[in-house]
Amino acid sequence: MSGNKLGGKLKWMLIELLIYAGAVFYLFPIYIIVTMSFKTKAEFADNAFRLPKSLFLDNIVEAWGKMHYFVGFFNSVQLTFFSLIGILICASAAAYGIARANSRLYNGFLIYFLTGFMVPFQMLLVPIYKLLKELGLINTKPGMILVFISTSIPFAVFLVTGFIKGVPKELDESAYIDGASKFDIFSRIVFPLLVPVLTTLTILNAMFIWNEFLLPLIYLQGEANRTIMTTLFAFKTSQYTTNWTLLAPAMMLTLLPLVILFLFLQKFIIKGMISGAVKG
Amino acid sequence: MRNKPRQSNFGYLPFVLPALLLFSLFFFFPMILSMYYSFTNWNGFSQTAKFNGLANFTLMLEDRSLIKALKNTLIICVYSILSFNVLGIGVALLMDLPLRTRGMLRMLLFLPVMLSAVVVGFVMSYIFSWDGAINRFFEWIGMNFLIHDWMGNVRTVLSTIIVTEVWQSFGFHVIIYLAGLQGIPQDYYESAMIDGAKFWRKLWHVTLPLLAPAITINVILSTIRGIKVFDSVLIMTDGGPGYATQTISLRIYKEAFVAQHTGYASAVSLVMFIVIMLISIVQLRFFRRKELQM
Repeated sequence: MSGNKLGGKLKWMLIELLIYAGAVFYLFPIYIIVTMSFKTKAEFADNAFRLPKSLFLDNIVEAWGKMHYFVGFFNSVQLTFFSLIGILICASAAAYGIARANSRLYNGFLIYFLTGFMVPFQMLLVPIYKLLKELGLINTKPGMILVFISTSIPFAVFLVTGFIKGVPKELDESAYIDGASKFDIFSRIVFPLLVPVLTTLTILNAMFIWNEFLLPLIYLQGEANRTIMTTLFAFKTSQYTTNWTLLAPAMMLTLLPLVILFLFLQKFIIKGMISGAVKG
Repeated sequence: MRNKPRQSNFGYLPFVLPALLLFSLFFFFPMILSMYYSFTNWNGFSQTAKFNGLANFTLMLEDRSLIKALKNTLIICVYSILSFNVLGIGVALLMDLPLRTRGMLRMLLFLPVMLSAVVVGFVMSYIFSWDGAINRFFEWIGMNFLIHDWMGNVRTVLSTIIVTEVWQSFGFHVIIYLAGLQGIPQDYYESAMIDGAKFWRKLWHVTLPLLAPAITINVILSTIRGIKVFDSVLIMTDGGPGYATQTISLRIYKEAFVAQHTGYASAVSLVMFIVIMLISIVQLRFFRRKELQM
């Protein structure tokens, strides 16, 4: 009996080991970025795969200065922060309306938002450019934020509506009988219950906005306006030949803030995605 | 009596309005504008656009670079749908095993999803480049005959794009499958065990049918993703060498922003939108029917 148990344990350990062998292969590109960042040019030319011999930090310092990291970082933080506030408020309010009214008209609104899933974004690039120009919002942060909010609305409304439909309606009704207005019910009862799904939404949209490069490349031109990713893009194209030991730390610097955010919130994101995806 | 619920329904309108206005102004209205441009010869900046009927649409049939792009997009689509869904289910099954470090593995799996397309494009360009990781690895193990110009050769460059696209989004699709697997009640497996069902029978008769909702959403999302492939080609190859990695999305972008054929680009994107919509509806119908049968 105990021998059998031991054999079972061994089997599981072996399976786990095999999975990790696969994971090493899967994560190789990330390993390359991280190790390259700490290697001197000579060390990298000598062997690209080995761990760096020492914590060589000059690359990181040099990349930080040359790419003007802080400008891009600060712009991206602003864009991400204000877009997220807009997305969370607009989407949760709209989802509350759609889920609670639950009539033909409101379901029609949901379908209207969902057309956004199917549109190839290249279709909108030029018309949005023209629109922003007409409104005097081209190459301004508010313009970019409005575009980020609008493009995020379809998925956000879809996700939160599914979540609110799972929140018992009795909660609303008892508050309604007590004389609370719809706004009170939304802001005091429903909104606090949305924290898990809004956390998921925060991460997914933070990822989208932080990582997006084509939209700011077109709608937010000018060096002072550069986001973290257009900074990285410009940094690579500014180099005469590709200098990997300088580009790698630049890449690492751009993804570090997101990784930190993710580590803090990762429990929520996977859980939230799971509940959202299956209900959809 | 019928008036009462109606009245209370209108009370919800202020909640929907901000999202509705923003979406209409910055998404739906540009979409309609683009549809209008697709029947004109507008170049993107002039004050006037001349209506030219279906000229843009008939031009598409003769546009050889577009046909090549369509072919590439289809190839990318087929490989990525297969990887995300067949390999994806396999990996999700593995990750669903009662392992001690499940949480850690899930986090590692999701890591590439968080990377920007710029970062992924750059690092993959390095890995596949002439003096990049793959060729250096072959040199290291002494198999020099395998060294190859992966991104410079028309015959292998498309696979580098496929690998890049699959690698970046694989974790996303597996997480959806994992979610589906966790929704399957344990008793189903237990009764299958009592019936003496082996692994493959359990997979075929219990797991896959109950995974159907996750399969539906994953197949549709991975198809849309495949049709829209854009970032990696723009960053890694710019559609080259020659037309070897042109995709539909890249063609639209190039026609609009480089060649300044905005009318034509709009027409292509309109066709693409219709195709995506049709495919999604057909897939949804097909998989929903399967779900009901089970």
